[in-house]
Amino acid sequence: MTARTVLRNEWRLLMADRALRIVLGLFAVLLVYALANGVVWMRFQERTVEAVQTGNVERVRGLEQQLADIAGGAEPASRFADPRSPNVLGGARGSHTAVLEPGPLTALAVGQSDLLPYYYDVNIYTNESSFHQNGEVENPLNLMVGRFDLAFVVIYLLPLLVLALSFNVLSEEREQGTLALTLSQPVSARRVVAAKLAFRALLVVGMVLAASLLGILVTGGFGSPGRVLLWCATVVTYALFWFALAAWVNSLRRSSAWNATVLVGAWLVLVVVLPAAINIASGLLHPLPSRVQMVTAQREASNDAVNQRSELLARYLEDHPEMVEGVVAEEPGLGALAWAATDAVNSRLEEVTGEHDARRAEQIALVRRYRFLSPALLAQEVLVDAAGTGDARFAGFQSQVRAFAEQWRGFFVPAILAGEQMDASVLPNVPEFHLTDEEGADVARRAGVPLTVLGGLLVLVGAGAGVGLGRVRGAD
Amino acid sequence: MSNILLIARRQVGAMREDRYFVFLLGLVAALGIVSVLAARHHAASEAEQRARYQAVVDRQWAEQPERHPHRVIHYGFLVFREEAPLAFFDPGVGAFAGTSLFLEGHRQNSASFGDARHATAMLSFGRLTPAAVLGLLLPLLIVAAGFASVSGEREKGTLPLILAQGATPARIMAGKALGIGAAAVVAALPIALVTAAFVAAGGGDQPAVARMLALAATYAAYLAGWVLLTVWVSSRSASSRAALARLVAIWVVLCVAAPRLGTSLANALHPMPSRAEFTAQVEEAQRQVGDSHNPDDPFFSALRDEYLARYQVASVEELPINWAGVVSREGEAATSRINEEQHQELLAVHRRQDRVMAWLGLLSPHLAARDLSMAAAGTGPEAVEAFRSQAEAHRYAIIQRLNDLHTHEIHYENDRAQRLARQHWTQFPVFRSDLPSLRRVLADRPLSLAALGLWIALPLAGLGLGRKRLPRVGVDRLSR
Repeated sequence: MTARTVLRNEWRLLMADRALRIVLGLFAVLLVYALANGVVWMRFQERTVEAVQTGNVERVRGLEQQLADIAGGAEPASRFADPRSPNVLGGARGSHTAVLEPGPLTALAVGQSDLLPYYYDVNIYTNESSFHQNGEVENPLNLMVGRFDLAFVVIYLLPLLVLALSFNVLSEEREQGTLALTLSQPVSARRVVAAKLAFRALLVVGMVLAASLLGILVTGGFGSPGRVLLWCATVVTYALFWFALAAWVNSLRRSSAWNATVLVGAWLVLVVVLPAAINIASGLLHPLPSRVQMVTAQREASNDAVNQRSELLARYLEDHPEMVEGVVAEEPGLGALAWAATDAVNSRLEEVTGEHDARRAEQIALVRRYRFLSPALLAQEVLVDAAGTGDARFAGFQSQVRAFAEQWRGFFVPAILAGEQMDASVLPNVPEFHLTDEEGADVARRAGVPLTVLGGLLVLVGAGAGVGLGRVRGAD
Repeated sequence: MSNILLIARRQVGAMREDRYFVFLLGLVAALGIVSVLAARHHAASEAEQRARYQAVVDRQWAEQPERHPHRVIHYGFLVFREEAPLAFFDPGVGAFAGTSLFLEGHRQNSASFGDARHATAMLSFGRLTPAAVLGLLLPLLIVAAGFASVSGEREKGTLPLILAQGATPARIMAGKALGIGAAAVVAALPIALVTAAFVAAGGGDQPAVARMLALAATYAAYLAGWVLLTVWVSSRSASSRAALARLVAIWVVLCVAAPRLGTSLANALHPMPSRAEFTAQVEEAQRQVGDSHNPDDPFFSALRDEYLARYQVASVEELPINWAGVVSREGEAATSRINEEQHQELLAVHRRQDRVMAWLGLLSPHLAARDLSMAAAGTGPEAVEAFRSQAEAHRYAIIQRLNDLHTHEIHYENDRAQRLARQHWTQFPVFRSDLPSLRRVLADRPLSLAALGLWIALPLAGLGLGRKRLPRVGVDRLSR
């Protein structure tokens, strides 16, 4: 009996089972629906990004027009709207929106991209508290539930399909009395199960990969082949883990019903209970530092600063001796005073949030260790990261925005302190945000450990199955 | 009647002999206790912090030095969302909505610092809250308890014996349901007891007790539906294996897939604007009103003329009140109105999306039960919105009072140099937010209530209609 015969027989058997045909068809429909959902979300983000970028261009054009009008003799509407003043040109009216393009495979995994901001308005007033503005207008109920994307289908539903297809690969043969017959041929139980599962794996993984590649094709994600490869490798490893688990349970020589109960139990524990339990336990063992405390600290900082403006300006100039030359010597301008206060608030905020973020990072590092307990957590992490919708990419974006805000201030603040006025000639030199997106290598490095552990689990369970199946004889 | 009890006892006996099931029951009960204790601990420490910092903020406000009222408007005020007393049981959308709101002049900030923003992507797997244990895990326990309840008797050949002893099919199934229900009660009891203990420790005031009873009723109905469904499917399946497969498939569809399918459908039917679009829309609407800093602005110059005419003077300097305060007051009124209108529009989209979910509750009782559970726990979308609108009302009252102080206590001449005494700041009201009442939130959810009713009625009807065929299920197929 060759592998081909097994494969052909298996195909016939599977297609003869009406329930399995329905399940497979349903899975295909869900794949397509999840994909369509992801594509719609990605298009929405792309449209938003485009609109925001157009907004940047229009804002500059508007300022240019105003400056030209003023140069031509027109009066600005008020002091607060005079674009010649650097704290207006560099302030809210002149702000530049820094944008994170949607991750290359966002259509496959929405990940954190519906929760975390992907654009920030940057101006001289941008500080740490700007990063914490909730801003987004999304329905909290939707955020709570999450989206129906391909990653969800892979993490939650794919294992169930795998189990439905393979919980009885061996036990059924025994129950129908065909096992002795099959094993009387010159093949081992290991070979038979391997051939049967290989066929099912080809079918299931083929469907998921086809859907993934289709999504990537539609949204142009092939520009990042590393990410595509990582996505596919994770899907394959995760799916094979569940096949291996099914093979192992089959090798224990129990009834089909027992296999089914144990495998569904394993899915429930690994995919539903453990992650949820880890989330609640981590809140208990490693509570994140209080945000409430940070908010009040931020407020105290701004309060103190405003009360002691002129003192602050002196201190600011001590810290920034290079600026002394530029400050109007006799009577410091109002703008300079205000700026000194703003700067003091910012540095106090940085201190407070720095502390908060450091403690938060510590706690999250502790929490992340627990993900090794569940293959679902590992797979989700790599899938979302490969898609470019994981925590790390958003954190990288935020730190670049932070640096950009620094650059922005560096451009406008000297003029504020000097009490200078600006004109249209500075517009071409105003800083612009250019994202340095993470490299494929960065993603691969982050994915290394979780993917290796996932692979390790697969090897472990596979080895268990191999040993167990080696003991199966036709007679038992 | 005694027949029913006998059969229930028989079912309980079968479950007790099943070591796998006993282990599962112990596991779910233990998870239940852990989830209540952990959730309660988390909620209590959060509440303690919020209360502590709210006191700090209140004190800072009251201890402000002599200040110009407009300076105080920009100084602003911070309020924290107080969670409902039963939020630990079902945190609802709380983690995904902001917890603090900065109230200041000229703008409506949105609440910031939602928990979810600060957690990792792992949170998308959900948290093991008491509500999740009851809504997600207990149905599976019920399935494990009862998938073989009728089909197993048939497979063992004991069904004809029981029938021959005079038990009618209806009584058999009632007994089976009773037995399985007993297992569910045993599993849910620890959660119920610990929750009740916490509510009692919290003073056991009447609204909290009413909310707890509403939660108990919701989950009792939801789980009763699962018990009936399990018996029904078991009685209609030729083999226990088939019954198990069907029930697990139903659970996956209703409890795992349906919520996400629901939100994606709701999003597709009623799409949201992006934040950028929304902000642009608000700014555009604001621009229509005018710029209070621009002396030639039509809105404000019309206002000036009106005041000059009313007091019969020639210039704002001659007005008996401070014109700057009037401008600030009117500007605030106009921008607040626009912000509120825009926000209501946004909210209308949220509500339309939520209504899609409510309709889908008719298909998935899990959605309906979750909706009612959030409502009863006081953590639903309307609780978040109540906080926002109450905070906005508070903000508006405070800002306008400051503007009145500006108008009447500060002279127009040399406006910016003047200060008001500190006693003024202690006379402002303290912010208090109230949850929407239980009666109202339940009355707002006729669809979810109907869905739970349907969820019990459907399997009950199925059992009633199918009871005559009970002895024959599977027999036809075998003889064919």
